[in-house]
Parts: sequence; structure tokens; C-alpha cells
Amino acid sequence: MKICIWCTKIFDLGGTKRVVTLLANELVKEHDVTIMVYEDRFKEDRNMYHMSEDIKVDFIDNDFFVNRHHTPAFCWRYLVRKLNNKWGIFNREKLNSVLADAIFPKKTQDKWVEYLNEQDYDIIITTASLSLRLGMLAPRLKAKTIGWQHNCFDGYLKVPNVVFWKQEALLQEYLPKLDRYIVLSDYDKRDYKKILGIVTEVKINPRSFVSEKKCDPEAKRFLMATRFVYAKGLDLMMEAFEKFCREDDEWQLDIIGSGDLWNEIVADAKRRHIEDRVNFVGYTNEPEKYYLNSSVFLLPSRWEGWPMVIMEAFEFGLPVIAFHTGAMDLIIDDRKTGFLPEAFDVDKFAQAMLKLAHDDELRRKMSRNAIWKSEDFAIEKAVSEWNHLFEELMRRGEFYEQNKKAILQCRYKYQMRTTCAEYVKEYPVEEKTILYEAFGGRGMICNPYAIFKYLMSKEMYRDYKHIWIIDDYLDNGEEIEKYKKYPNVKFVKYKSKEYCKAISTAKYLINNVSFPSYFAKRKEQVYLNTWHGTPFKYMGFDIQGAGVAQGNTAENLLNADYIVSSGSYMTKTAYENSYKLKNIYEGVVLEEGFPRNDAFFRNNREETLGKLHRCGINLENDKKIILYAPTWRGEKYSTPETEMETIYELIRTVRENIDSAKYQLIIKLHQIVYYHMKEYQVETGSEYNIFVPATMDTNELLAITDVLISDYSSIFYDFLNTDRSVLFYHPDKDDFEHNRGLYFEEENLPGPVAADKETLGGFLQNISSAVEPYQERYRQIKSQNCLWDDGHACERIAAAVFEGAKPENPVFLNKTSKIKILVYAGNFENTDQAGEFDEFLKSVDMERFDITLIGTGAENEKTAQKLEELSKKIRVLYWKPSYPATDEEYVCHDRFMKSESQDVPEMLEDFYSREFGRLTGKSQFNYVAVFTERKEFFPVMSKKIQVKRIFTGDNWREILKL
Amino acid sequence: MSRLTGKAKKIFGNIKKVQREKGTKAMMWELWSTVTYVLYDKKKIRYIKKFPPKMVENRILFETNDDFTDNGRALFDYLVKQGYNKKYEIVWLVHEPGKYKKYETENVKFVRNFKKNSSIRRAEAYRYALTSKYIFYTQAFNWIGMSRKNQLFVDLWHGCGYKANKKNRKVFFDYCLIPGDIFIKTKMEFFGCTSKKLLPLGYPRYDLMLKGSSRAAEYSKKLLEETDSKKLILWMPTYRHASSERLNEETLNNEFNIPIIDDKQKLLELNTFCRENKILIVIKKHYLQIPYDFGDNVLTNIIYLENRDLEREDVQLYEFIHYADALVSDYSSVAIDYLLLDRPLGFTLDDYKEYTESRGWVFENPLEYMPGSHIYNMDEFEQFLLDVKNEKDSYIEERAKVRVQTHNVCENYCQRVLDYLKL
Repeated sequence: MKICIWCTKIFDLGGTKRVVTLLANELVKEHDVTIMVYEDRFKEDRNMYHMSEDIKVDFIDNDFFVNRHHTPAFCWRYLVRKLNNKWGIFNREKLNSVLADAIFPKKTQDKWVEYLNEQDYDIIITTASLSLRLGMLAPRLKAKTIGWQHNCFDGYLKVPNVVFWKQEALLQEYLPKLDRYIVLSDYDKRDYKKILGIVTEVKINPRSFVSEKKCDPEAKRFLMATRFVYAKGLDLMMEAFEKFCREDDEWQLDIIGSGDLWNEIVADAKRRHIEDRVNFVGYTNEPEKYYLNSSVFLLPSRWEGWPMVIMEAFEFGLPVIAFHTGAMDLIIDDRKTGFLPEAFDVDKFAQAMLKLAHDDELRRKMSRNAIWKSEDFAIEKAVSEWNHLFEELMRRGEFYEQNKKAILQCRYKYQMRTTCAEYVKEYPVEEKTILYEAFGGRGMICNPYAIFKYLMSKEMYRDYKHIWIIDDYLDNGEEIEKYKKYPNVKFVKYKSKEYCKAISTAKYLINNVSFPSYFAKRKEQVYLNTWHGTPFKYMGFDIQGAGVAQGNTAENLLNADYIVSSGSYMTKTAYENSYKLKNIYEGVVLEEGFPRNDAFFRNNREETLGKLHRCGINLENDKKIILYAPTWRGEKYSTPETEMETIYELIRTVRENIDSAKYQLIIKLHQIVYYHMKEYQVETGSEYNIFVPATMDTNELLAITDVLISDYSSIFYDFLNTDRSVLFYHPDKDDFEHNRGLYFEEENLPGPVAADKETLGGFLQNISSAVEPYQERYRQIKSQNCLWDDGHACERIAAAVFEGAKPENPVFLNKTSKIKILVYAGNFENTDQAGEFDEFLKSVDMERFDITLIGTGAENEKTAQKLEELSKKIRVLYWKPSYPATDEEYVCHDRFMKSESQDVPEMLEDFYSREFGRLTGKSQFNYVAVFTERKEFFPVMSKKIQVKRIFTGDNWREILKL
Repeated sequence: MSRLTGKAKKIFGNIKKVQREKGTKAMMWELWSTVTYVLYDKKKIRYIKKFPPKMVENRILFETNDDFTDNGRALFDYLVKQGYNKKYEIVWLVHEPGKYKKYETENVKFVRNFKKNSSIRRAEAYRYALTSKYIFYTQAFNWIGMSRKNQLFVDLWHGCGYKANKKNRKVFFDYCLIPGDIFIKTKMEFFGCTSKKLLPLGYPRYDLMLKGSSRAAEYSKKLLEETDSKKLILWMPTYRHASSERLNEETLNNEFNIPIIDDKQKLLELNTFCRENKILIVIKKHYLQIPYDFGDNVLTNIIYLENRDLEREDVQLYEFIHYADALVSDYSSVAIDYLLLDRPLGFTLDDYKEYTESRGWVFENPLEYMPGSHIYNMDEFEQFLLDVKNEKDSYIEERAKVRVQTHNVCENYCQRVLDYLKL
């Protein structure tokens, strides 16, 4: 959505500016946000409230809209305004047009309408007095309009000569023309309704930050944070504090802020002889320091809208004493989170101060309440409410009105899926933007990291923007810190709404496993899947019962424009066979070796040791390093075993058999195990300081490793580049082979295999003689799988992907003489058609045909079993309901499936063609065979699929004659 | 009423201060300037700001801190050389236009910026600032206080060094030049602007530094011959005791206010060492630095270079740098600039710790970005001199590494800036 926030000033001190910046900073993560101001462009200071760089600021030159030369018309307008301010003579309905023209001349209005319509905003929000002007323009604007009030009703209508002074009649005419008028509290809403008859809506302002640290309730200090102006009641404060000081001689008062009344107030304090008790701090950009050092917050304002300072005070755990005015009682609960003495009764104010000052227990209690109350003002809450409002405004369509409830429900239930689809539909692809994800945001590691580092080091790629997907910022602190200072590197949280935006709009996508199922690749995007290792144990559809679980990865690969392979062995095993990409993959397999292996050709030993040191792992420079890197074990990838006993057993074995003066041991657990242990807070035990965290790049580690102890992990392939020794430790071989299966016979490994710890101990005692007999095989496997590793893989891959250069070793999998048939048979519930389908499978010659089945209904046990029993030669693409669709598409699809109608609603055509693309990538098919009711097969009906002919259960036999 | 008397008080206080510091004559000038300002310029300025005159589409305005030097001068010379003055009108705001008569050619104008012998700006300066389409300057142009929609304010800036500025500062510009990407983040925070406004295009003066000039060549040759030396080493310490209080940093406290050299004895020792090894050290004074106090004819192989020397010889500092065989610096931007020449660098770091505490650094590990001898004491300094003499240079690789990170190397820096601005 294109949102415009129109205010007079933004780069200035003040609550309104802060709230607007705060909200805009959040909104810009999902929308295009422009802030339009009447300031000179050189007033820009984004440090002030930390305005995000992505927010556009439009500096309006008011001279363009207003003619300031002193013409008679100009003078007349000036006169009207002055007279009205003085006596309110134009404040009546009949004269509205005169006053309106004086405030906002007709010609100026026309220029504004033209300008705003040109910008093509979806939503325009205005603050303060501009709401009235927007109201005058509203009927002629294409955008939806929202007025946003930042002070209480009285502050806007009862203060001489500011905001809406003596303009009630105008308000009554023009505010209702806005789509929404937002006020701060229920009291304002009541007043607008009752006094002016204007309907408004309440949106509470959010707190401006979150603080881990809280105040010290023992501190004997009051705090005030305010501008030095009349409205803030500093004179009342001095009077009350003088009274307080008569009864107390310990407490101090800090006042931060400055303003016009500074000199007067300071003089007043002197006159009252309390200057040694009051500490005038002036303006500070570290207010936190003062909040943390005080225990009670004071706010003697004469009027306030929705004071941000109270929310800040609450966030730090400070109870607040304020006069009972405006909406104060909606924020402060009297006697719970503070005191609300009667308005402007200085004695009562002083009494409240004394009470709180002299009752430690009460202070502590109120402090706790304040912290608890602070949660009500969370920014996330406010943002979601605003978003909700935008939704409502933007969609007044018929379909939305009819199905509002279902749509909103869907939106709430499938946040990621709907968000993703919306970005795909509404946002253009951002050129020169690269997104990197490694193991679902585990960190800046593996192949994506290697490519990233390469691109960062090259001048020619300097204008690219890089987005890293990170799951846990804390875990990746060091790397993030290192790259934070580059303005073209951005970090985005995994599976957040920002993540949806990133994967839907980045031009280049680099992943080493797969994106979630709600990722839909767009035609304009370029997707490079680097994978994360040469296969050793079974992977993909080769794993027993892996069907649905691997479906998403297979679809990801089909969608990739480029896949990286370490060599022909990997291309064949992993891509052609395991993921069954042979015949239908239309992208390019880049047999260039893994980018991460470039690390072996650079010497970064000291840097890596330093990095380890900072993770708490201290290695000695002159000792050789033994690395034990076991893979994960267990039933499911998502819930691996975290049994530490076997690992400690190995540690003991190693320690007993090596010369500790020469060797040192470190352990790197499989990243999913590490993650799981962190999630469930499983401790690594007494030897915690030899466990390398998963955020550390494995290949950096391998590059400094002298002896590798591996098990079933494919890590050893990379390690062969170093020509150093590798040992295998397979204590649970039978178990593992049964569960997962290996592509490789144990005898063919490039190093000795130990089935128990005694054997391993033997090997360790004399490593060189243990590995001696395996040299020949070592060389052979190395030449097979490390053929392309020469330290320049990144360069070759980057040239192909970003420069469009011809790849050096491309492999194409789509060359075939087989006839490619796409089959759909629903969830096999339609019994007679299911019989035909079985018949079809029996009679079709797999040597002549390439069969792809779209499998649905795998959540149903019976269907799942049937899918499982299908011949392995059939390629099954699983279509699960976790697809990306907008909320309206979800509901519409649902309605359509349940209805009798055969005609695809227009709304769904785009969705169906997107889905078909998501499922099959760029694959081409010659024929389609449908063994179910045609309607259920959405791609056919969306007419987007291009094949020679579509067969059905009645005429499929003709296929055999092709 | 009280506001008026307050203002009057302030003005008289200022005039008295001038008398105290600069004498009666200067006071009279100041008084004259103030009176004419109040009578004429003030109203004029207010009027032209409210109703700005029509903009001159092809007017380029230059202002540099030290008149007619640095990046502004480099870019100006390039513009004239390439004949841009046929298409554009080029205006310089300077203190004393009479001095620059000889540079006036077609469409080039020098305009008095301030009232004579005073620091009060003339309405004329405002008029030119408000009617120029392009405005180039090297420090800040905040005095103008407003901008017009189609104007382009380009801050050529005066260099990015190692020092961080904890306090941020408001500076007017649409674009500001920096040497390379690594400075974007810190400068962004310093100015509070977006990264799009910071252009990592390098500085126009790099062209001067990379090419040199015949005048500068002669001058450096003269210096070498006079002292019978073979190698010229330029030493450019950052200012320590400045005349401006705002910028003063007292981290070094020794007799001469220069790093490493603690007392007279050491300085004479260094002089002897240089003479023996036929090395000439030229110390360039920072323009904010208070002059050092030395007797005559004591130092043979260590000489001071002041702005007026350069002015006399009509040589730009960056042209002169081209003829230095090596550079000694501390945390100043010139060290970054000098990387482009790929010659030996020495860094004096004796107050590194104090600096870390008082100001902080642009880089996380500033030492990693100092690819040259790290000099903490006299012995290391002499070793560095010997290395230069023997042409022993073991930092080539390191320099290349840092250069890649801090610069975007190109052939013609002036043209790149002009291309970007589509001039």
C-alpha cells in the first residue's frame, strides 16, 4: 500500500513527531511510506527519532501552492482569519465558505488535489490542523483519507489561536468528509460526538521503546521530562515542590528538557529557595539515564493529549503523579499506577508526592503495576490496529463485504501465506537486491555466505543490496555486527512479515535448502539453489517414507533457475535420481563446485582462531586440531536426538589415545541438533568450551582442521580438498543404515572406519599408518567430487547468475525422448475414476513415458498410503493446502470448490496460474491426463497450461497409442 | 523592548571583543560593517529570502573554507580547463576578490563574501547563493538557512579520516562526497541523513594528487636541492591545540604540540639524523593549528610548510603531496587519500589511547586500516625514515587491501563527480 503521512513538521522535537516517526518506522516494513512536510529539505535529521532510511520524505515548497504576494485577496483572507480568531464572527454554517477560503484558498486546494492525485497514494493520513484541510480536499481525492488528532479535544478546540480555535462550524462540515477521524481516547470520542456530532474512532498511541532495565524504586529522586512552556505547568510544579520541601529534606527533583520559560522557571526556583533541590538538566539525548535513576515521575500539565512521557515512565517502572485532566485517568489508574490529584490543586499534588516518597512498599507496588500496564501500549498492537484500519478502508468491494468475516478470519489464521501472496501481487520486484538464506536463517554460513563474501569484495557488485535472513539475531551477533555498518546489507528475521516481503520482492534469491511452502517464485526473480553438500546418506525421495516431507524441497528445486553441483556424481545422485528432476528440470545445473570450498584456497587460520576465541573456544596455535562432526540422528529432522552420552564417550576415547601436547579436540554438532538443544535448553555439559556453535561457518573450520572424525555426514567430501586425514566412526552403523541408508559402501570410504571406540582409539594412536592404505581411494574420490574446486567457484557462479555469462560447466536435465505426461487423480476418492487410474499406471510403459503426478489430500491417511505405494518411477509433486494466497483468494477458492459452478471466478485465475508455477516450476509437459472431476484440477481450468491435449478417464487409452 | 537592549548589548560586546583581540582599527571596521548591515543588508536579506529572485539556471557557486583551495579549487580548475565556463557562469565567494584577478576569465567571477575585515556576510552573498543552480562547498553552507526546490547543494567535504565524531552535526547538502563505501554508515549517523545522499565517488583533489603539476615539481626540487637531500617526507599531523575552542583537543601535551617529539633535544637529534641520511622532512601545519615556536637556522632538514608558502608558489597542497616520497600522518584523512599513490606511510600513534577515549574511531579496529609503520617512539620513527631511504616497503599488500575497502579507484575523479551530477 502507498501511504502518505502529511504533517507540518517532522524533523523537530515533539510528541507528535515522535509518534508519527515511530509508527512510520513500523509501517514501512510492510508498506511504502512517504512523509510529506512543509519543512526545508535541509532540516532533515534522521537521527532525532531514528527514522528509517526506507521512509521517503517529501519536502513541500509551500510557495508553490500559496501566493504570498500582498494582493487584495491575500489581505482579505488575512483579515477574515484575524477577525474570526478574535470574535469568531465567521464561525457559523452560512459563512463556512468564506472562512474555508480564508484558511485554504480555492486555488491552493486545486493545486493540492492535482498534486496528491498525481502521487497515486492509497491512503493519506494527516495530523493536527491539516485534517481540516484534507477534509476539504477529500471528495476530490483518489486516496482514502484519515485525520489523526494528537491532542485532547480541549487542546484542539479550547486553546486560543491554535489548531481549531473558533472553527467548530467548519469542522462539522468538513471532518465527516474524511474516511476516518482518529482521536486519542474515549473521552475525545465522546466529546466530538456530543458537542459537534462528529463520529470518530479511537487509536491509542504506542510506547516509543522497550527497555530491559527498569528504574530503581529505592532512589530518592523525582523526575520531570517536559518542554518549558506554560501548558506543562512548571510554575505549579515549583509551588508544589516548595511545599514538599518543607516536609522533606532528602528528595531531589530532576527536570529534563528546555524551552521559552527556562529563565523564568529557574529564577522561580531560586526565589523559592529550592534551587539546591532542583536539578535543571536541559536538553539531553540520553533521557534513559535519568529515568533509571529516579523512582517517581511528575507531570503537572495543564492539558495533555496522550502524553508519551507517561508511557515511557511506565516502561521504566516509574509511577506517575499528574493532575486529573483530560484523558489522564484513562492512562493512569489512580492509586494503582500513580496518583491523580484534583486539577491544579497544588496542595494535593504535594501531598501525593509526600505519600509516595515516604512509603517504600507503595512505591515498589506501583512500580510493578506500571511495568505491567506498559504492555498495553506495545507498538505491535498499535501497528496491527492501524493495518486493520487500512484493510477496511481499502477494501469496500462487494466480495469483501459479503465475506468479511471469513476473510478476516483467514487473514488472522494464515498471516504468512496471505502476506506473501499480497506482496507477489502488489509489489514490483526490486532490482539488484539479493536475498540469502542458509538452513532456514540459521546464520551467515555455508554456500550463500561464501557467495555473499565474494560479491561484497568485488567493486562491480557494489550497488547491489544484500538481505540476510536470520532466525536468531543474538546467536549471530558477531557476523551481524561486522556487516551492520554497510548500508547495503540488511538483516531480516526468518518467518516474519518482513521476510515475506523480502522473498517476494528480491530479484535474486540464494538458498542452500528450501524456502517455506508459502514461497512462490515470480517469473522476474532469479533463484539460485546452492544445496549444502555432496550426498553420502540417502536424501530426498530416496529416504524411506519421505514423500510429503520432501515435496516442498523438490518444488523449490524445480523452481530454481540455477542449481549448484559438486560434480557429475552429485548431479546424478542428488538431482536426477533422488529429487527426480531428470527430464523435467528446465533450469541449469552449475557443475562448478561448492562456493564454500573456495575457503580452502585461502589461509585464514588466525582469523578463524580469533573467531572461535570470541565464541569461548580457546585453541592453541601450535597444536593440531582434531574435529569431530557427527550428523543428526533420530526419526525426524525437526526432532533430532540430543543424547550427549555418546559424544562424551568419544571425547574420552580421543583424550585417552592422543598426545595432548600435540593435538586438541573440538566438536561441531549438526546444526539442527545444536538448534534443537538451544530451543529445549539442553546443556552441552562440562566440556561446553569445545563445542563450536552452529553459526560458525563449517568450511572455515575445516580449513584449519588437521584430522577429521566423521560419521555419516557428507562433510568429508569438502575436507578432501585439504589432503589431510579423515577417520570414520560408525558405532551405530546397522541402525543408521536401516533408518536412512547410504549411497556409499563403507569399504569405499576414503579413510579407515571404526565400528567401536577401541578401534577408533587404535587409529588415533597412529593416525598416519591408519590412513596409509586408503590413499589411493582418497585421491580417486577427491578427483571425482572436488574436481572443480579451485578457489574460484564463487566467481564462476556469480558471473553466470548476475552477469548472464555462459556457465563454464552447465548440465541440462531436460533433454529426453520420453513423452512427458502430467497426471492428476484427485485424492483417489472417486472410485470408478480411481480404477481407471490404476489401470493407466499398469499399462503405461515407463521407458517411453515420463509420468508426473500431482498428489493432493496427503493429510488424509488413506490417500497418503496410496501415494506411498505408487511406483518409485512416478514423480509425485505434492499439493498441500499451505499455499500462498490472498485472504480473498482463500475464501473464494473454498467457495468455488464447494459450489456447483464449473466456471472459474475471475479472481482465482491469477491464483491458479501462480499455484501451477509454484508446483511445477518452468517444467514443460506434452500431455495431461485427468482421472477425476475436471473442476478439481485447477490448472487445466485456469487455461494456463500449454499442452497438446488433455485426456480424461474416458479416453486415456489413446495415450498408449502415441 | 528588553529584546532590543539585549541585542544591542550583544553587538557591543562583540565589537569590544574585536577591539580587545585585534585592535582599534579592526574595531572601527567591525563597527562600520555592523552599522551598514543593520541599515541595509539585514532587510535586503529578509526580502530576498521571502521573495527570491529568479534562479540563474547555469550558475555554479563555489565557496571553500580557506578561499580558493582544496576540492573546490580542483573542481573549478577542471571545469575551466574543460571549457565548462562557456556554458556555465562560475562564481566564487571569497574574502578578498582582488587577490584572484588573474584567474578571472570568461564567465568566471569572484565575489566578496563578507564585509571588508569583518565576519558579517553581505546580502550580495545571499543573492548569489539563492540564484545559483549548483552550489559547491567544502565545509557547511548552513548560513543560507533555506533551499530552493531546483537547487543542488553539493558538499565536496574536506576528507574522511580515522576520527569519529561523537556529536552529530547538521550540515546542509543534497550530496556529500566520501572516498568509499566504508564511510557511509558513520557519516550517515554524523549528518543524520540517508545513505543515498552520500556519494562514494572520491574527491576532486585526488586528480591533483595523482597528476601533480610542474610548479609543484619545481618547488619540491628546489626544497630538496637547498637542503642537499634525496628523499622528501611529508609530515601532516592533525591539529592538537587549535585556535578554535570548539575544535580543540588536548591529547598531546609536549613542547611542540607535535607527536613523537617531546623536547628540543629530540628534535635536534632528528634533524641530525635526517642530515646524515639526506632526508628532508616537511611538516605541514594544519590551518587551525597555533604556530610552533622555533628559532632560526637551527633546523636544516626539518622545515615547516605553511599555507602562505604554497600560496606564494601558486601550488596546491595536493599537487605538492604528489612529490612526497613518503607520508607521515596520524589519524588524518590525508593518510586515506595517500593510499591512492601507493607509497610508504607512517602513522604516529603515541596518543592513540587518549584519542580512543576522547573521540573514538570510524573503524572498529582502526589499526587494521593503517597500512604502514606504526610509530610510537623516536626509534621507530628513525627506522621508518631508514626504510624510506633504502626503499624498503613491506606494506604493499596491506595497502592494497585497505585501498579496496576505502576507495573506489578511478581515472578522473572530477569528471566522475560531474557525470554523476549530469553537469
